[in-house]
Parts: sequence; C-alpha cells; structure tokens
Amino acid sequence: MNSISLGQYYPAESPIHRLDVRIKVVVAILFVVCTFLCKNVLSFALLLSLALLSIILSRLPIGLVARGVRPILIIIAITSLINIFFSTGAPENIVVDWWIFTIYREGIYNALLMIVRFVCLIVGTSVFLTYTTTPIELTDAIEDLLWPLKKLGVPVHDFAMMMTIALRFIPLLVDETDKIMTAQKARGADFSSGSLAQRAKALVPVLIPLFVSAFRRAEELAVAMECRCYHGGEGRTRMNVRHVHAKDFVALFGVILFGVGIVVLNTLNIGYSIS
Amino acid sequence: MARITLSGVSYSYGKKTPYEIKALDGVNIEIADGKITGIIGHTGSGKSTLVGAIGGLIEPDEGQVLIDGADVWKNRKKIREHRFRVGLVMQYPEYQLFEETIRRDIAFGPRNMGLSDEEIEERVVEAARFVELPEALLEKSPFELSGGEKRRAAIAGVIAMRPDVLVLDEPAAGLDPRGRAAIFRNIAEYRRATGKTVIIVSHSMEDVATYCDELVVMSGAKVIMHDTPNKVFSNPEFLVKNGLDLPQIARLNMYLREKGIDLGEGIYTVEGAFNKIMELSSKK
Repeated sequence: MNSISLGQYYPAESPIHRLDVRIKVVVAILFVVCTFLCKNVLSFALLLSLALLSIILSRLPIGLVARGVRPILIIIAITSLINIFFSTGAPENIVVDWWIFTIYREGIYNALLMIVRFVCLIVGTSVFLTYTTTPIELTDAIEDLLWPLKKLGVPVHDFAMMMTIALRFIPLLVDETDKIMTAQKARGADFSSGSLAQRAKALVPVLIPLFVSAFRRAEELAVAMECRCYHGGEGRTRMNVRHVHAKDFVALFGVILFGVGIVVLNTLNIGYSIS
Repeated sequence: MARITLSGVSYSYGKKTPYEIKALDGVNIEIADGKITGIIGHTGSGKSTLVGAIGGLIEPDEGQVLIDGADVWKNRKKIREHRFRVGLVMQYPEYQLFEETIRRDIAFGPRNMGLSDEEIEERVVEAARFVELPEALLEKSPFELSGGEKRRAAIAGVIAMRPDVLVLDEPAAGLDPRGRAAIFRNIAEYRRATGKTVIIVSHSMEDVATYCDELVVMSGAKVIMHDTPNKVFSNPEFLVKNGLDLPQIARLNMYLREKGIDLGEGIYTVEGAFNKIMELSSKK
C-alpha cells in the first residue's frame, strides 16, 4: 500500500524546485511546444541539451527521471517500428529490401528522432512538474493561470478547491484503507488467497468502513470550512501570495530563447531533417 | 500460554524513498507471560509498530518475532494462525466495524477461524460479557451505538477469537474519563478471569501506573527501559528526558517530599497515595 504515492514529488533544494509554480507550468508548456518544433538533427541536439540541463538544475537522481520514461516504452517501441517500416525516402537510401519490407535510411533517422522527442517530452514535464511540484501547489497555480475563464463566469476557484481537496484526501484514504485492512487481517481476514469471487468478497469488510469514514471526513471537513466562514472564491485572499521574481523571468526567457534557437536551427539546412 | 520474544527486530516505513523512517531499531524484549505489560513512549517512538510486529501484521526487516520460541514468519502461510493467537486491537477500532449487526461483527474473527455456529455464538456472548455490552445491543447496527459502545464492540471482536495474547493499541483514546475507566476495568477483569497475557499501548501514565505489571518504555524506535512500574516511575529525570510525563500522583509525591512529607517510594496510583496519606495522618 505504501508504494502508492500520488504524483512523485521528490523533495530537494534546487533552482527548479524554487521556481514560481505558475512560471513552471508555463515553462513546461513551452518545453512541450519546443519538442514539437524540432525538425532537424541540430535542433534535436539543442532540445536534448535543454532536457539534460533541466535535469542537472533540478538535482533529481538521474535514475528517478529515467524510471519516468518506463511507462511509455511500449509507445516508443511501436512508433519506432512504424517509422522504420513505413517511412519512404529516396531510392538510393534503401538499407534493407527484403520480401515486403523496404527500410530506408530516412525511416531509421525518423525513428531515432522520435525517440529523442518522446524522451524529452517525458523528461521535460516530469522535471518541471511532477517531480519538483507538489500536486497542491499545482492546483493553486492552475487556478491563477485560468483567471481569464473567471471573467466568463467559470467557477475556477471552486474547481481548484475541489481538486485540492480530492488530492489532499487521496493519501488520507490510502492510509485509512491500509489501517482498515490491517485491522481486518488481525481478525483473520485473508485478502491474498482464494478465487477471484472470494477475494472480491473479502474486500467487503474493508470497503464498508472505508466509505463510512470517507463520508464522515467529508462532512467534518464541510462543517470545519463553514465554521471558518468559507463561502467560495469571491473576495478571498491567499495565505501565501506568490510573487514572480527575477529568477522566474530568467527561466521563462531562457526557455523562450531555446525555442527561438530551435526555430533558427530548423531553418539551417544541415544534417537530416524530419519531413 | 504464549511466550512472546522479539530479537533484534528492525522495521522502516517508506523504504527506499526520501521519506524513509526507522520505526523499530534492533528491539529485543520478552513479554511477561500472563501479566499486563504496558508500552509507553511519546508520539512516533515506535509503539504502534512494535505491537504490529508482535501481532504478526508487520514483517520485520531484520530480526525475529518468536512465539514460544518459534519464528512466526518462518512459514508465511501460517501467519494467520499467529494472528489468531495474538489478538491485536488497533487504535480507534470502532472504525473497522462493518457488519449489519454487532453480533455478526463480533463473530467475524471466530468465523474466519472456521469454527462451528454454536462455538461462535458461545464466544460472541462471552466476549460481549467481558466488555459489558448488554445483549440487547448485539442485534443493533454499529451506527446506532455510541462511541464508547462501538469501541467495546470492536474489542469484543478480538476477544471472541480467544487469543493467548491480547494486544490493545491505545484502547481508551478519545473516550471520556468514565469510558476510559470502564475499558481498563474490563481489561483487568479479562486478565484476572482468563489469566492470559495482555499488552497495552498507552499515552496515559495514570492508566499504565494503575493497571500494568510491567512497563516497556520506548524512545526513538528503541526500547530504553523494561521494568516494573515501581522502578520506571522512580526515575523521573530519565522519563522526562525521553519526553514522557510522570503520573500525577508521582508528581504529587515529589512535591510533598520537597515540602517535607515523605510518602515513601513506589507511590504512583491514587489508591496507593490515599492509603499512605491516611496511614500517615492517623499516626499523628
């Protein structure tokens, strides 16, 4: 049970951990845009160096970041195969021509660049968001960034509050589930053997107390919020008002500069470029 | 009877994460058979983890938990049998009630043991009697009971398994003084009637001083003292240094001694102090 961690926040002291979360969200979005702007080998090299730079700056263990790529390995493998087998190129670039398969050099290049793109996509979002930002900070930042929708009458604050509460409750409920399971195990409940039907039935003594406690907690929280005169977002101020500092602008402009660099490199006709 | 021994038991939460916490660090203890042992220590000292290990619900990273000299984790398939022998009542056990009636909930443990219906019924009635739960309440839903009644029903659910060792983690937490006293009275009566080993985790120095035969003092994931309440409470500086309080009566005793009235050693319960003071005053 303890292995279920929500998000994968990794506590550390690093320039990226300290960035303003709103800026981090924008930076992450720009980074994703950058990965899709890349066209030729040079711009991909620049992208890769940006990804490496951000890992170094974030002081995350490299193994942790690498593990983040694991869930999409299958997707990477499938796209690579499709690229290798279905890309067509100049007739003089045929590498393998056997039975119905024709592999062009372009296909291999495309596959390699795609791998770089995918890996950078995961590394960028995880380094800027999941590993260095707590989910609660993230919902706060999203509330701030979505302010234009407020003007249109969308209850942005309420959605953000619901999200925050939901996120806050997940670890609590995981904890609670763990406790209840232990308590029932102490009375001889068996969750790990028997047929599927038996196992499902064995969960009843866990689910019922869990639901009861979830409703109880929800009610307690609602009462506690009302006691403190919570009435939604209208005129509500923050305990921690976030300020954007110079270093946040540096990060933002840094990424924009990289983006411009990528666009410039794309126009140079050097090396291979994705069609 | 059952002899519980822990040898070199260590356990950590959140292994291999940045949040790793060592909850037990090389714990060696032997629990006195047929006595009430109290486990005290401030929050986060590893008390709950210790009873989890004793109850066979936490598998130690290192070391062994032995019952009558046999390692309980040697045959993992038989861990359930150990859990039936060592009945663990967790903190706030009322939150684990799930059946439609209290009777069926108390019967959950015995039913998992595969006993006959008659045997289960007999045990349910016996367990309810130990915790002074009126028979009329047995047919009610857990939601209709008060907090104290639910707590007692949950304790009955473990007693009904007739464990050789009954382990209670903070059995009186969150109850009013009358509820606390009732729970401890029930436990003391249970031990007297069955002669079985009881282990109680508690924050309250008063409660352990009154009801326990032996005390295990924990601090920083280690057992730092294991002795009779008399010896433990005769060393106030040591307790205070480890973040623990003295029972109020022991504090009163120290205060009186400073003022020149010596009640003598080993006075830490209301009853003991009362008798001693009456004795002293009648001499005058």
